[in-house]
Amino acid sequence: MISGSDGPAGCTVLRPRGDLAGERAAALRGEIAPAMARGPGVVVDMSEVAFVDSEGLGALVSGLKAARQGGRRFALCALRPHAEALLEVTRLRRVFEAYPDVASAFAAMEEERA
Amino acid sequence: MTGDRFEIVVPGSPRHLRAVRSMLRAAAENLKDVRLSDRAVADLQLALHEACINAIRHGEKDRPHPVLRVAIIVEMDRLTVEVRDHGPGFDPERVPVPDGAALREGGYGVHIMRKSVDEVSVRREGGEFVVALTRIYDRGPASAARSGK
Repeated sequence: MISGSDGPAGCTVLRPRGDLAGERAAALRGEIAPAMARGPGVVVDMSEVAFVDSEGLGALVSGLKAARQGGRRFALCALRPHAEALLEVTRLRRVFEAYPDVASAFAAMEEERA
Repeated sequence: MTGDRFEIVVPGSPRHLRAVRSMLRAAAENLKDVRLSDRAVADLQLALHEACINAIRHGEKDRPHPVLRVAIIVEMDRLTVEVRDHGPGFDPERVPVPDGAALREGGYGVHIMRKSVDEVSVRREGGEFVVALTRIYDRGPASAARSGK
């Protein structure tokens, strides 16, 4: 459901799949904290997320808050139209870093560190 | 409210919401009077999902056997879905618009409902709280589409 892998410079990519709602939103919340502890940044690859609800949004916001509090980076990538629209509607789009794909998200993180 | 009415009763658990959303899509795609685009159906599915989450988290939370009662009402110019629960309800007009910069982890559901449909109305009926979500048809009649109008 949610797989994780390491990226450049100790950053982590999390890949939720299917619906980001209910138990899966809670699972993502649980994955973010340890991923944040492992390195300087976390990227959530949204390419396989077909549906997001308010609880899924809450999980993403929790990640962003944790990153800001810990001096880490937190980014989304490959947002599908449904998720993009939901972020716009809730006025959250402007608070998240978002990139077209995982590579460009990591590149942005690397650039800042350089 | 007139029109054909279809009712779905499922256990009040988030695990069943995917099925509820699928039933709405099946109804929208198969009932001949419904003229909603894919996007409009997706928006209505999202609003319905949020209303159900609200009913489960607030309206049915103290009941030993929580149940979701959903009605789909098909009228000439609109599709309405209703969700009933046994809670105190809420006034959609009094729920604040979220401020993204505040980074709140909750409180988006009612706002999402309001932005996803044309009308959100609430009422009390027979001791239950009812939220009704309406989407006006955004596609023309099938006969007009066939004749190229």
